[in-house]
Amino acid sequence: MIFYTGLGYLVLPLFIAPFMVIGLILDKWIGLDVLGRRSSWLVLHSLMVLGAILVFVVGWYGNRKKVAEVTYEQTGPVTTFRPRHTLYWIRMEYWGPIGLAIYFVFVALRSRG
Amino acid sequence: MSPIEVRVRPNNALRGLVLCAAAFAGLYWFLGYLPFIVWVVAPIALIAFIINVIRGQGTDPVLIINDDGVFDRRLKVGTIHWADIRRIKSYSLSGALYISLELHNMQAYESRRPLWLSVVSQVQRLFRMSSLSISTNGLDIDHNTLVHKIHEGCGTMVSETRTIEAG
Repeated sequence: MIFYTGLGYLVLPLFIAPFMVIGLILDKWIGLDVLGRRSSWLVLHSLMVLGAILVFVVGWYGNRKKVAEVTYEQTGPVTTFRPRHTLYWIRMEYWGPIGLAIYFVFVALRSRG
Repeated sequence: MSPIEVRVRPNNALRGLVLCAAAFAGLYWFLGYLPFIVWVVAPIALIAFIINVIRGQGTDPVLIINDDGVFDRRLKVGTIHWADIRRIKSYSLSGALYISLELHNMQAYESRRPLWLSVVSQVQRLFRMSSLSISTNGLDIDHNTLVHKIHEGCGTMVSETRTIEAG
């Protein structure tokens, strides 16, 4: 079950979009397979960093203007400003670095094995 | 505030049955067989439709908004007074829209409900919704308009609302 608000559902598609699109272009035009065993890991890492940057930029841009949520406390209404775009209650832009951290942990574990 | 009476859209049950039948036909066309769950859901949908036809389309409003508060016949708690509402949240669970009402005195309202409904509504809490949530699908009022009207009743005009989606 995915919980999101606004464009939060785009986190994963945006994160892998550079890898998919640029990876496909590199493969078709220069014959560079980014997942190939002989290829440098630098290209794959760069595409993932690019994905993280894309998520961060889209999230940051979308969350510039916040939504006012009113809570009717007994002392009177309290307005809280909430981000528009979230995934699992975490702001969309934060998922860029989080996704990148998960990716590098995965890479580190894989290189050990 | 001028009173608002909200009713269920006519032929909603028939529309639901037709959609179900189309979905099952599509699934059969795609898979070449019908999964077990369809054999469980299909008779339930059919029985629900027959019961709906026998009982007839009620003309009574399911939801009334007036100076006192908001009354949803389906919640079985009576009128929820404006002063008791603490927070209003908009939810979409796989396309089913809800307005979750968090109250200052939740227990008092909960105690008015039949036990079976209290137990069933606890499922909504898994999705971080209040157990007193108004389902807005199939009503003759737009979901966002209803959210705005409830905020208006509480004394605030909101320009926009944020819907928490779960799917």
